[in-house]
Amino acid sequence: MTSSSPAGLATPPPERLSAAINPQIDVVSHYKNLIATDPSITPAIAAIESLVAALTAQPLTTITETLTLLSTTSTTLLASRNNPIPLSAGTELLQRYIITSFQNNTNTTSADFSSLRRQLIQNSKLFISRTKSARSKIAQHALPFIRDDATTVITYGSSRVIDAILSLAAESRRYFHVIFVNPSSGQEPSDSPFSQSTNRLLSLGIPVATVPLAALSHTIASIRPSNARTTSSNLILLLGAEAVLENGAAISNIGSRLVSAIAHDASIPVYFAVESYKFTRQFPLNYGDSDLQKMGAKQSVLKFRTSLEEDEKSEMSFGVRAEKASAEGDGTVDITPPELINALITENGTITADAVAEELIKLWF
Amino acid sequence: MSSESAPSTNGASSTTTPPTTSLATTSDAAVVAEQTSTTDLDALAKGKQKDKQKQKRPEPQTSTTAENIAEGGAGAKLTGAQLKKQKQLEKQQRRAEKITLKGEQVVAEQSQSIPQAPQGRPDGPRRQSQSAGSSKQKDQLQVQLPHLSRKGSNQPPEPGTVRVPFQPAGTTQTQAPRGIDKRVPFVSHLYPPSRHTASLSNAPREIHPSVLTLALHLRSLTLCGSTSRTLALLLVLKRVINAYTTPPNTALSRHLTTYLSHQISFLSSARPLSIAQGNAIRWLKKLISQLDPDLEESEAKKFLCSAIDSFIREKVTLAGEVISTQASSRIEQTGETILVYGKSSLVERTLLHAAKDDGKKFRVVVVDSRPLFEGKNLTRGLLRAGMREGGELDGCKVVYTLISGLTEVLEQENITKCILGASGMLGNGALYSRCGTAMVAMMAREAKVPVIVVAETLKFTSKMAVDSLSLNEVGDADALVEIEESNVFTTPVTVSKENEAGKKGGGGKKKGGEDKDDGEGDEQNSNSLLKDWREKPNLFLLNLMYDVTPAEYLDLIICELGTLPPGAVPVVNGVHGGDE
Repeated sequence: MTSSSPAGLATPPPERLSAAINPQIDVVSHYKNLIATDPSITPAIAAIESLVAALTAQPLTTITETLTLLSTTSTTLLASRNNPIPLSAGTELLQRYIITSFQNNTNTTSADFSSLRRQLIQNSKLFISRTKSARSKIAQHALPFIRDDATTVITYGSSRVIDAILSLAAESRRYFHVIFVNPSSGQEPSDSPFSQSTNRLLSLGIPVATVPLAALSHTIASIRPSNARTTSSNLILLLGAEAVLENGAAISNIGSRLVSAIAHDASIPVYFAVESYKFTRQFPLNYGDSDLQKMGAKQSVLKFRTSLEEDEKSEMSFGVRAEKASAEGDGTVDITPPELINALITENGTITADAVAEELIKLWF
Repeated sequence: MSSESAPSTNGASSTTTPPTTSLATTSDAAVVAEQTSTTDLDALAKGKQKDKQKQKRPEPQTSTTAENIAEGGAGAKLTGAQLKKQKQLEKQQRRAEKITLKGEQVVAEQSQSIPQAPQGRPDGPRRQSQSAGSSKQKDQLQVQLPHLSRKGSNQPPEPGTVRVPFQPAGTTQTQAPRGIDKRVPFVSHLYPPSRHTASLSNAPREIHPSVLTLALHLRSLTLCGSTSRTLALLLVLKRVINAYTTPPNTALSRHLTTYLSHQISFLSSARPLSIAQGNAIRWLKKLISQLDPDLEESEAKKFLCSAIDSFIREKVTLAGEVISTQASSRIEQTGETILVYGKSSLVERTLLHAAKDDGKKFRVVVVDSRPLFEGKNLTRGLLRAGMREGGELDGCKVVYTLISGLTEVLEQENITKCILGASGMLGNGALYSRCGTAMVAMMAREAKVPVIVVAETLKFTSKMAVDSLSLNEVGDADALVEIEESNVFTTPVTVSKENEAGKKGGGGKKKGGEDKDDGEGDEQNSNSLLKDWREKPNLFLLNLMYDVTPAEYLDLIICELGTLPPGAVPVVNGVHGGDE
């Protein structure tokens, strides 16, 4: 059968074929369900799991069908999100993974395709479980950065990786301070993920301070009178990211760039803790809304208004909304350029921003 | 004075050398004639004439040939028939020109009483070379074609002739050491070993005629540009392989590599190999050495030729396609002004892809510089493709400027992107490209304009350089002197009209002293300052061909593997087998 030949892989799936293959399950609701039920799951993993579920539900017989199904379902899934960049990292990774595993088995005839498919799905599940364990590995790699000599960790936004790192550091009896930078200046509701992580750290006996974003520069200046780096006050900025672009720029909830810029200015090292499955092969030339839109994100921060009323609904609690939305993987984001990033802490070790391209090329070629 | 001593030493050396050199010349010429078929001789003759032609009008010549070769490469084959046809055409043109020139030169000679006149040989080419040569041009000719003009220089200088100021120039840098070392000290390592400059006469016996042709093209810069040079090299090597027969008692996989090495070292003596050429050669040699020794010779040759073809298709043609598509997608539909420098086939392809295939409307600012004026070539290509009023791509505009106007252009033209071509991507992410690129990139970065580099992975190397001196090429210093093209904008119209007669009469008025006396004009005086730079002990001319742009001035690199930050260049080397 032609579809099992390597040439079949390269040809774009014909239109009628893609129309014929309708996913048996609704990937979008499956995805939402996953996000809702499992608080620890990340958008990329949830996207991969949704795709694998779609693959499992569909009785497929050819490689072309499989690839078509994958691409159509991932397109629908991505289109359903305001910010599909974190998801796209996952879906692309899975598609790439499946294509390479097909290429390695090109001699497979259609007769044993079902076994190949079963193996593939199994592998995909293994792949998911492996990526899930990334977070604890990152925490291990980040541990050396939190030294025992009164390190002060500044962090911003809610990130499960950062939570894992701080918890591990606290459990391994490091003594350090944490400054949470709060995007809004008001009080947080007690059930937000932000205050949850605060509570967890407090219960572990870690001194925690919360400062509004507006007070960050002032706070840094208070901790450290001059910009000189001294060993007595070891300050680091630790952030999570939703996705990492090919040049090492990090997409993270909005405000991260500002925080990074302030830290950079005060010669505080900026570290992004991020799982390597969040790396995506996109490369903007600039870091604005239009660049995000080119990558598929629907967001526009800048909205001019001509009357007072329009202000009411949008302005109220920008920070709180951003917080909530980012927990669903759908919040407003910004891009931190690689110049501001000292290192990325991944499960494969700590790498520079430049090395992201290296990891991606290794993955793709 | 040193200018006095210089002639005497040179005179001495030239009187001692003549017998051997002239012998070598004749025997070599015989060898060449023996080796080459009549058609190849045509090609060679054309090569000679092209060199001469280059002295008169370097720029347009460059464009046509380079373009044709590039086109030939892109269109898969630069067949012998095509080459021949093109060359014959050019030859005819040149003959016609020469006939008119000659008539004028006879007059000039008489008025200038050049001592070469009595030495004039009855045979065609030599006579032409001498009569065409006022001494400046002659100097150049000898640098490039020693076999043609050596007869003249072999003559011991006759005392009391007017040639005195240019006597040292008469002996060329390829033959005898000059009285004054004109090598710029801090780049002395970059000069080619003077004895081994490729020419027809010093070509070893085993050099294939097409290699010889290519060497002459490379040396005269009629074939310029990293991609076209590499294409030409591969096509020529294919011919060499086709013509090759394995000597008895040797294996093809063993002998062919050394045989090719000879050809290649001859080529590199004409002009140092570019990074892409080096990579291509390395690939080919590796392929040959891995051939199965039991393979039939014809089979092996067929395999190698098809491998070269697919290499060209994969690494140049298709890679160019992918890169131009990707780079074009970086250009917005409207409102962009794109800054480019010099000429790069990939940049041209990108711009045309964006304008033609993607229907984008943008402005192009072509920045150019002396001495090669490659930007004119690019501008011409863009205009020819229709980027002019009423043209096919009317929405696009082209602005041409020299690098001295770069600051102003960056401010006034509202540049949005800068796209640069490459000769090589170095291991530390730096860009190795035509001299001036670094300046453009730095200025663009200063103006916060994103700098995009387009380069095939063929041009990636693990070599590193932090400055432009460790890795570079020294071009012909005389190229800096010559600014006599009629289309140089600085020439005041009135002066050039006054001097027109004198210019023509002088066959390019290269005869130093005399010409200065009868044809005045400010620009000529400033020319003559540089013109006898070889006589001025403390005056050095340096024509560096390339420079290195540090990685921090580049934003992204587009290659056929995708879009990379400059820091990822070594990764591509690793993935691609590298060039170790």
